[in-house]
Amino acid sequence: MKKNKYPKIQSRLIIASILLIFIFGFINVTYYIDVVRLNEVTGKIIEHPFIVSNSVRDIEIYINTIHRSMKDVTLSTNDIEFKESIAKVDEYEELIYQKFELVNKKFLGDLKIVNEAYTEFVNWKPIRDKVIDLVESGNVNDAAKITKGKGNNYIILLLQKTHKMIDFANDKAESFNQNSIDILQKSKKNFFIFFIVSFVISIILFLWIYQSISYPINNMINRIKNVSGDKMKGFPKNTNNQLSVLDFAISEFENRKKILEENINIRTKELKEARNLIVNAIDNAPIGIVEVGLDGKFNEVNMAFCDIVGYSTKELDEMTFTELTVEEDKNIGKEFMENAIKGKELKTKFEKRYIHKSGGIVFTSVSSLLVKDENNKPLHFFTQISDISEQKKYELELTTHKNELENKIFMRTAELDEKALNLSRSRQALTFLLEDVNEIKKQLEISNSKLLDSNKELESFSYSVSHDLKAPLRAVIGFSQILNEDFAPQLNQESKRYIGLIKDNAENMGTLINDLLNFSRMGRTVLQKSQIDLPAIVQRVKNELQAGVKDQKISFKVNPLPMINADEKLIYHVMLNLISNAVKFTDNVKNAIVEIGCTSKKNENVFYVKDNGIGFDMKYAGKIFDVFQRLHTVEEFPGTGIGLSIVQRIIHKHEGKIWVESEKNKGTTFFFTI
Amino acid sequence: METKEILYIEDNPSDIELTLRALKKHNVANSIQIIKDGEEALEYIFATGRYADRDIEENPKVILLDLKLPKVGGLEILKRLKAEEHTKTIPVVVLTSSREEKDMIESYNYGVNSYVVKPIKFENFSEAVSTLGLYWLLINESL
Repeated sequence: MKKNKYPKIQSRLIIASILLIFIFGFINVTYYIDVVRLNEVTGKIIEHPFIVSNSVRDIEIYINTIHRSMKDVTLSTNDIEFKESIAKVDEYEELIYQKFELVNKKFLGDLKIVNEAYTEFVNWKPIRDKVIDLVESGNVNDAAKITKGKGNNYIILLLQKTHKMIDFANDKAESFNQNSIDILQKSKKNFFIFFIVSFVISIILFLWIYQSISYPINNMINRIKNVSGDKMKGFPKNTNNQLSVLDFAISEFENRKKILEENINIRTKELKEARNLIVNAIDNAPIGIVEVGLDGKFNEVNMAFCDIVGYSTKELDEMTFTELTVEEDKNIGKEFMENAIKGKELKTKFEKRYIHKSGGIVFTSVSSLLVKDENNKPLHFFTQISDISEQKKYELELTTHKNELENKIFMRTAELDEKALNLSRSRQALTFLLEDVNEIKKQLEISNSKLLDSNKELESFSYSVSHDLKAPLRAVIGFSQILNEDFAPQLNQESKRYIGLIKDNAENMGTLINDLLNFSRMGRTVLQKSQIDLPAIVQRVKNELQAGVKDQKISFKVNPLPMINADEKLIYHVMLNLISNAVKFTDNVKNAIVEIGCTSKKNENVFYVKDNGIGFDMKYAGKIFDVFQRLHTVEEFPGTGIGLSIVQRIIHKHEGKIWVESEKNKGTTFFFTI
Repeated sequence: METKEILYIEDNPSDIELTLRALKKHNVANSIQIIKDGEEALEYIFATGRYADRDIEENPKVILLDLKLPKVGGLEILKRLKAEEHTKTIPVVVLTSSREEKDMIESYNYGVNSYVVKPIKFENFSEAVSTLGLYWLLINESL
């Protein structure tokens, strides 16, 4: 609703009331003034004409009385009559003086008239005195004459003057009367005009106020009709009764408010549930979900994110994402935030590294979105983070494997060289195979794509070796044995020794072939890593070795060893080889000690197998891991010279290192890391 | 044609002789059929070709099988033998020089009963051949 659509009733009522009060006040004041004036005028009417004219008439009566008394004076027969008459004259004279005094006071007209009459009265007095004197002196006739003549004249003059006064007073009374009639007429007229004006003003004010009340009410009723419809239950039949419509509207409003409130409560509950669902979903989501404020602080974080960075929700409250980001990656997030706030981009996806609470680095894939309010004002960032450390690890492993493969090509080449050389040295029969190997080697050098073929050939070569080379050896050994068993009586000592030599050599060659096959198989084996228990492996090796060296007295010292993640079969092979070497080379030593243990160096576990055996000159240390490399004669210590090559190969396959420290006649220590 | 108790498929004459000696030493030399190539072995087992007159109803009690054979390989023989309803119950002992895991796994996949890597030392060899051959021979007879 617009402001001031409806006039303010209150102010209109106040204005109207003030106006009406003002109008009625004005009317009253005017009317009062008229009444006062009328009162004044009528007062004068009463006061002046009546008092003055009455007094003057009294004067006339008194004068006549005096005139008659004077006649009585002249006519008096005795002294008593005379004196009585004179007393009467004096009495009325005194009354006349009084009346004159009154008239003089009240007369409104010209006082000259009064004075003239008074002068005549005063002028009459000497005549009266003369008459009295004459009567006293007995000249009654003269006195009567004067009274009838001069005295009478004066009386007539005086009466003339008093008549003038009465006329004036009457005139004056008439004019006052006229005046009062005029005032009444005017007052009537004014009253009529005021009545009309106030009537009109009242009607205007009424309409003015009515409009301010009725128009809005009608407007409201129309709106109520539009909203609720007049066919609604309970809608008043007589819509002219505006208050009942308003009452209906208010109760309807109350009902609807109640329904709305109920609806709001239901909606609020539903919203709460929906919100809980979302919150739960976010909380338990497998990926990290966070809400980051424009200042980079975490507003909200879910459990998965806490797991990724290793901090609790509470700790994260006070942190910004940049604090948790690896130095080199800090700008990625910041740049996006700045661009997003400027409106350059709203969404992004990138990879970055977080620092775990433990100090480790977590590779993550991040997708972030700027959330704005309805006024397009940036609110916060909605960001999803998934831990891709595993993936990264696999990528890394993949590249390592690739590199390894490349290395392998070189290694294989070298191995094949060696193998070919060694084979040609050891057996004439192998020289033919050497040519094959050379051919394979050439193929490898020409193209990597032929590596697979070569590998296959190598495999079939190993296969052939195990079959074709072992069968004749078996025959040699078998028939030597049969010769020994079946023809023992015909053979002399020397022949038996030769047969024995044939058998021993053939058996050695069998071992050699087996070792060679193991060695080449190692290159192809895929590591099957698991958490392995080194002490248990060492125990197994000890058990196996002790079965073979019953008469040799060796004390084993096994220090605590940590669990490692490696291929159990291969590590067993390593331990078997190193420990059996140690046992082998302490054969001639009294108080032989073989020590197995682990030390920590630069956060890396270094395992060692130490003996106090015959040792060797460190200048051969570089050669010890070479294939077929032996530092002792077979007569001194048996062996094929392949064992340590296999060990080295296993350690390298585990991305570890192996090295040896030795001193002649003091002992040897093999170290390796995994 | 009479069916022998033991069918021995091997191409290496030295191994044959050593095996026979080992078996004889343990008194199981009687009734051994030696076949030297894969193709012939199949003909024998399924009584076809050169062995068409053999009574197919009568199976050898045990088959000693080398893997590396001319014409048809030992694994192929094993596969076909174990795939056939009629022959799949014959115990097969693979006797081979190969230590290849691949061969071993494949043999077990096809249903071999025993897998023996021929030892180089004669004593061990003789022991392995005779005990395993004998074992399956006895097991099968008692069935």
